[in-house]
Formats: sequence, C-alpha cells, structure tokens
Amino acid sequence: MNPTLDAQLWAAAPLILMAAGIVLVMLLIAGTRNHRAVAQLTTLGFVLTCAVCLLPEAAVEVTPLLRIDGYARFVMALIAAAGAVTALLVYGYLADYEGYREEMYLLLLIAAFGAMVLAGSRHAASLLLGLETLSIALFGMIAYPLRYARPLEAAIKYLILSAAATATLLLGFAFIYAMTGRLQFGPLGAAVAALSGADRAIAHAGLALIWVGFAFKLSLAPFHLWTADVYEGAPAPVAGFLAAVSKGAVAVALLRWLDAAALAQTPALAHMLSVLAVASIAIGNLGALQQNNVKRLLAYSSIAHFGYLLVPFLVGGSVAREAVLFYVAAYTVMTLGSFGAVAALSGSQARDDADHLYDYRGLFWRRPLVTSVFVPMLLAQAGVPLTVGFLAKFYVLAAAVEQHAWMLALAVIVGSAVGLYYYLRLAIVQFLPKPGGMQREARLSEAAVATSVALVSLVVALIGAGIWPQPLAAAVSRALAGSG
Amino acid sequence: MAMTTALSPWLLPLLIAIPFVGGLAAWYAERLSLTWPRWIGLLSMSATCVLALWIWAQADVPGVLPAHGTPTWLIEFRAEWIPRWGISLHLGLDGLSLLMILLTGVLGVLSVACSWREIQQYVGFFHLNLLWNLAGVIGVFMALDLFLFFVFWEAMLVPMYFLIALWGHSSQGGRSRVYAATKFFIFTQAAGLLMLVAILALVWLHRENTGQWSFDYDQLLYTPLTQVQEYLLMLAFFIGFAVKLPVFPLHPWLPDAHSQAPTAGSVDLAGVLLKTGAYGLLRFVLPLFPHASQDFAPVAMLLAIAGIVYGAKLALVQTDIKRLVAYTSVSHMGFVLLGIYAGSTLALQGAVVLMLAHGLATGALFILCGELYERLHTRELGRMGGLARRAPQYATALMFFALASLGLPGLGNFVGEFLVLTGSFPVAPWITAVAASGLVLAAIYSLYIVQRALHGPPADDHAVEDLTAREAVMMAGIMLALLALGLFPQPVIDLARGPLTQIGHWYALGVPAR
Repeated sequence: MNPTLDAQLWAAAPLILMAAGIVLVMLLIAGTRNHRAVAQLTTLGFVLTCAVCLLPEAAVEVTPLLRIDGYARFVMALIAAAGAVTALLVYGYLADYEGYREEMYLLLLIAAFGAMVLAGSRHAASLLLGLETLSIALFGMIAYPLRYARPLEAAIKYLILSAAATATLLLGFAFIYAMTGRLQFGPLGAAVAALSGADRAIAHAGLALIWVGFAFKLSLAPFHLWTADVYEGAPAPVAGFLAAVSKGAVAVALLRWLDAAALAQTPALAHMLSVLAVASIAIGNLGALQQNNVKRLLAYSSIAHFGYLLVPFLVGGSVAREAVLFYVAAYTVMTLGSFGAVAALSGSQARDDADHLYDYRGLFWRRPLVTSVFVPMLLAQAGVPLTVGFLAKFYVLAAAVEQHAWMLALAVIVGSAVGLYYYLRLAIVQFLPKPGGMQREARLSEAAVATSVALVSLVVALIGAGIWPQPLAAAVSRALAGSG
Repeated sequence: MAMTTALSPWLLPLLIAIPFVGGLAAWYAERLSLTWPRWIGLLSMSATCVLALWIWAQADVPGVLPAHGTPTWLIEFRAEWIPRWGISLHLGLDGLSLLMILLTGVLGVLSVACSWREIQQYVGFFHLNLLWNLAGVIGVFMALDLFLFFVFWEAMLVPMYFLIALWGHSSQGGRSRVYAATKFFIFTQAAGLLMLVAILALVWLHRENTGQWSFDYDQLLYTPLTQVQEYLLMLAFFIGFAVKLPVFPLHPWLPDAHSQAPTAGSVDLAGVLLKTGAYGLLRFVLPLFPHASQDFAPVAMLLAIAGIVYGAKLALVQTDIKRLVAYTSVSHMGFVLLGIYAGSTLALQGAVVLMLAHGLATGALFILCGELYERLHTRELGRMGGLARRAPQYATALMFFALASLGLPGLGNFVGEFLVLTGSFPVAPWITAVAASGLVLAAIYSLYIVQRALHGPPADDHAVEDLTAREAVMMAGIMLALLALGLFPQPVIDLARGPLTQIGHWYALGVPAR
C-alpha cells in the first residue's frame, strides 16, 4: 500500500521546510550579505521545523527510502532544536569574524538536513545520502576559520577519516546486497538469517564492515583516534554540533538499522561489540583524565559516552530502545551546553579557542552565567541527579539490569567513577581564585545576548528534564511505540 | 495506628523546602551585606528545628507498633513524579526519621554559627552549599521511594564537595583540599552507583513478580527473593551505606575529607552525613533483606570491631587534632554498626542514641578544633599546650567533650554505648567483649587530647583569646543537650521505639506477607 502523495508531502514537511530554508538563505546571501538577517532566518527555520515535528502524525512511508514516524519526528525535533541553539552560539562566535560569516549558517542548515534524513532513513541509499550531506557540510564548518592552521588540519583529518568510514560502510552494504539483493532495512535481518554457508559468511562480513563504519562515525574505540584532534581544531560551536548532532543522528539511524539486522544471530559480533563498548568507556575516561585542554577533554568524554550508549544497543530488550533515545536526547543537551560554554568564552578573532584549563580559573567570579551553565553540564555528564544526565545513566543501567548484563553495568559504574575525577576538576577550577582576574567581565552586546539565550535554554532543558522527566520519558515511549 | 492527629502531609516537603529556599535567599543576600547570609542560614535552620520539634509535640507517637504490621508513618506525603517508571515523590516520617531530622537541624544551626568568623570568602555561596547539603540530608531521612532516596543521596554530595574544595584548608606540602573533596566524592558516588544497580535489580524483580514498575518502599518490602538474589542485593546496598558510615576497609576518604574540610563541613560530615549511612542500614538493608542480613551479621560485626579498634589505634598516633577526632568517628561508628547488626531492640535503640550523641559531641569537638585553628593557626598537637591556663573556658569545653567522647556516665554517649553493648552481648558475647575494649582505647585517646592540648608547658607566649560569647553559647547549648540525652534519654528512646521494634522484628523473622 502506498500512501497518497498528499500524505507523503505532509509527512516530509520538516524536510521540505529545511530545504526551503536552505534555498532562502542561499538566495539571501546572494542578494545582500547581512549577518543578522541570515542568523535570524536560520533560527526561525529551525524553530519552525521543530514545531512541525512536534505535531503528532501517523507513520508514513515517504518513498521506499524514508519512513517518517514518531521516532523520526522526535529525533528531527531534537536536531532542529540543536540547530537553533547552534545558530545562536555561532552568531555570538562569529560576531567579530573578519570575512564572510553568512555561509556558516548555510552549512549548518545543510548539515542538519542531512542529519534529519538519517533519522528517517530505512534504506542503505538514504542512509548514505544523509550521512554524506551531513559530513560534507561539517567539513566546511570545521574549516570555517580558514586562516588558521588548526581548523584546517582538523577538517582534513575529518574529511579523510570520514571518507574512509563511508567507504567501509559502502563495502559492507555491497556485500549484503550481493548476498541478499536487498538494500532496505526491513527484511534485512530475515534475509541474512536465511543464508547459509559461504553466503552467510560474506553477509556477516558485510555486517561487521557496516559496524566498523558506524564505529568510526560514533568514534568508538579503537576507531576514535580522530576525535580529540578534530574537536580541538574545530570552532567550539561547530565542535558541539559535530559531537551532539552528527553522532546522535548516526546512533539513531543505527538503532533503526539494528532492529532489522538483529545482533542476536551473530553472537561473535555481539561479543566483539561488548569489547568495543568496554574499550570505549576505558579509553574515553582514561584519555580524558590526562587532558589539560578542555576541548580534548570533552572529546574523550564523548568517546566514553558512546561507550555507555553502546550498552543498551548490545543488551537489547524493550527498555534498551528507550534508553538509546533518551540518552541521545540527554547527551545532545549536555554536549551542546558544554561546548556552548567554551564558545561563549572564545571568539573567532583569536587564534585558538579558550580551551586551556587555566582559562577557566576564577570563571565563576568573572563570568557567572557561563559557569552556572557549564558546571551543571559537567555534573550532568558525571551523572549527578536532578539533571537529565543522571536519568540517561539510569536508563542505561536499567536496560543492562533488565537483561542481566552485569559486566556491562559494572563497566558503566567504574567508568562513571573515573569520569567524576575530570568533570569535577574542570568544575572546581572555575571557582578557584585567579590572581588578578576576579573582576566581573561584563560585555553587553547583541552577540553576547544571543549566546546567553542559547546557554540558558540549554541549562533550563537540562535541569527541567532532570527534575520533571515525565514529559521526555513519555515522548520517548511514544516515539518508539510508533516505530515498527 | 490509633487516632492520627491531622498533621498536613505538606509539612514534609516544607521541611526540605525551608533550607533549600533559605540557601537561595542566602546566596542572593550576599549582595546586600556579608552578615545577611549568615542570619538567613541561622534562621532557616532554626525554623527547621522548630518545625521538627513542633511535629514531635503534635504528632501522636504510638508507644508500641504491631511488630508484624506494615510500616507506619506519623506523616506521609505522596505525589506522582515519573509514572513511566512507577516513581513517586513519596516521603514518610516516623520517630526514627524525626530524631535524625532534629539532629540535622541542630547541627545545621551549629554549622552556620561556627562559620560566623571562619568563612569570609564567598559567604553567600557558602551558605547556599551548606543549606542545600542539609536539605538533601533531610530528604534522605524521609524518602520512601528508592529512586527519590537515591536522588537525595547523591544530591547531598555535590554541595559537600564544594564545601570541602572551596573553603577547606590545604595542609602545607600535604594533599590539597580538592584532592580530599574529589576522593570523598568518588568513593561515595561509586558505591552509590553500585547501590543504584541493586535498586534497579530489586525493582526489576518486583516487576517480574507483579508486572508493575515501582520504586516504592512499601511495595518492594514484600518482594520475594531467592537466597542468592537477596544476598547479592544486600551486599550492594551494604557497600553503598558502608562507605558513608564508614565501615572499616571503606573509610580512607574520611580522615582526608575531615582534615581539609572547613569547620562547618566537618561538623556536617561527622554529625549528619555519617548518620545517613547508619540510617540507610536501618531503614533499607535490614527490612528489605532480613535473611541475608542475618547471614551477613557476623561479618558486619567483625568489621564493626575492626573499625572500633583500628579507628581508635590510628587516633592514638595522630598529631593533627582534627585527624585525630576524625579517626575517633570511625571508632564510634563501629559501635553503631555493631548495634545495628546485633538487631535486638535494645541494641538498635543504643545505636540511635549513640548516633545522636556522637553527632553532638563530635560536632562540638570539630568546632573546638576550628576555634583552635583560628587562634593558633595550627592543628598540630605538638604546638599547643598550656591552654588550660591561657584559655580556661575553652579548656573546660574541650575537657567536657573529650569526656563525652570517652563515654563518661551521665552524658549521651555513655547511654548509647552501654545500650549497644548490653543489647549485643546476648547475640555475640565475644565480639561484644572485644568491642568493649574500644572504650578503654577511647579513654586513652580522649585523655591524650586533653593532656597534649591543655596541659604541659605552652608552646609560645602569645595570649590566646578565650571563648567569645557566640562560641560560649554554642558550647553551652551542646553541653546541655548531651547532659539531657545522658540523664533523661527516655523521651528519645520512646520516640523511636515503634519503628525500631518493628525493624528488629523484621530483621529477626523476616517481613511478614501482607
């Protein structure tokens, strides 16, 4: 049964809105360059898209490539909200940038568009299309401050490794296509299970290759080596978007793919992935311990986070799917907030972002707002209650306990305990006195207000969802109830 | 329960809200003047005390609870929170929690008062942390939903971390206050997460049984468990609480945290935070896992006497007066642990009285250490001496609380220790006998403090300021409270009798099915 064209168009409304936004922004830039107007239009586009995604609609198959159901809508709303916040942060960050500022918003819109396609994809082709749209736009965003070496280096690294990951992914899909003749996710699991002998081995090799590709994108150990360098080099708001949206959208697509290609048939692969999860937790946390650079620290912590996130993927079960979605939502808020705080302290006119630990000394007395956002974000990442970060960990542990995955639960606990050390170190340093630097630095400008709005809305989301999680928990359950 | 007086359930959230809002107000008031936050802190903690006393006066405390009945609360508050997981805002107050809250309130007042002169930096933020920590502790003493309990349990850590890390002392050449604060946080949080897994496992088992998610104490109490399940879950809970108490091998965070913490932080830690561990054992471990706890009791009691003797031995060799007092806490909490696992009503009552008395006496000793540091700028016992002549009032107070700590009859600690030992003897005579030797060691280290600090030749000729009026009032107040607890402990024992009898019965015979 094919839904009518009308229904398909309505269902694809978020994507169409985004595409329209992209075209509008492009035309606006071609006409007159106006930083403020472009930023406003971009933010408006994101907000509208987010609102459209929140309207409840039935699940609709838009062409064989996309499935726009509650699940996709939830993730799209999340991506659009993250995009709006990033646009505000970018506005503050680029205020003093000498050069063309407007294209950044164009790239941001394109990247978010790609992420949204990923969220709805149920076909290898749309998965790759979404992934590439996202990655190529991100490549431009990372290298945006062209005159400095670090962003350029980071962008090249990202380009090459992301291309390698895509190639691996493609080869994996090719193997599976060769054996089963299918690219759609739906019947994939059954089709692979029906194979036997050498065909089956090749299909399994394909599955493994696909996992490797995903692991690259999610920066799971041992495919994490690019993460710290790229996050360090990228402008802070872009690093936040990269860490939150790009990885989050891939995780969400992975969950949908995984429903089809159930892990249960390949115990050896599941075993390997458990090792990957534990290794990511260990390497992420131990790596972060040794960092004095805040952006690198956050990069390693994001590796650890995806180690935790892999746990519900592995154990499966009803709670696990909710855990993944909840964790992605919480992680998006925490990561955007953390990098947002870094962005608020940095500006594009300086060679480097404010990313050394020493830059944060006495911050509470100099920039109280930034600290009162940053510290809750760090505590949330450490899993302290009354923040959404604790609930995310709670979901992961609940999923592990439900399936009796005690070793994985233990890994999460030990990882969290180690993680406390560096989160707390970064939090406390903001309160310690800095010689000669205890005066309040007040800069009231439009850019500063935009940044503050973004940061405050993030911390409100963080603590609001931590104290009153029912709406988010219910939204997550609803989103999953609709996805077949 | 006979004839409930109509106490509004909203009193319970109010008990938490007073310090919480007080903390916010104190933070804001810093802009007006530096004294405002102190007064706001003092007022909100006094209000908490008064409210707790008022509840005590108004509530109709049943003399005896049916030993095999369901848990009974003086006041109960329940509101929906996260229906997805069957989590509710469920608070309940019985005699045991009321006593603990009262202790928290009194020590809260003292913590604010003893920081009056010591804390001069970021005064508003200090009181925010102090009051939020106390609000979290009060929440721990009332939470009846295991998720809510865990939230409070963790939420009280963050302010404590800041108290130690920002206003603490860094000893010269030694470990920094941030190190001590981080160690404290990691120890408790790691153990806490282990407990969270156990909570989740218990909830999951309950769901297997009934098909419903619930974190409610009243529900989980009746979860049937196999022997192995019960033992493992009990162990995870025990570790969670044992770190806080602290039980012997899990104590290393304590001396560091105490010696680097500001005075108010130490008072708070020793007086209140340690008690949350004991409270957790009483409220959750014994009733939820009675059979496993019975099996585990010999081990717990051995750990208790190890803590008693080891804490006392280490106290004897300390030269830093604050570290010395910190180690005595390890020793005293060993008695509490012994009493809890002996499980007879008498021993449980002793443990509770000892918790109160230890909170007051050790709190006072830490305040005295802090005052000494303000005057001499050292905590080394070797650089004191002769204080008896130089500051007679101070010396009297120190003498009094040292005697309280060694268990002098007539003071609260004696009643507690005596009841614990009497109650434990029929259960485990040999262990009790060894534990009693801890009293001898207590006498030695207490008199050692007195001798080194108060007598002998003074280390220098500087005049030492005697107690100020504020300090004298604080000391006199605690002395009166300890005397009252030592001479008329009956009202306190009566207040907690019902719940303690019940817990004792559950522990001995298992929780009866509904």
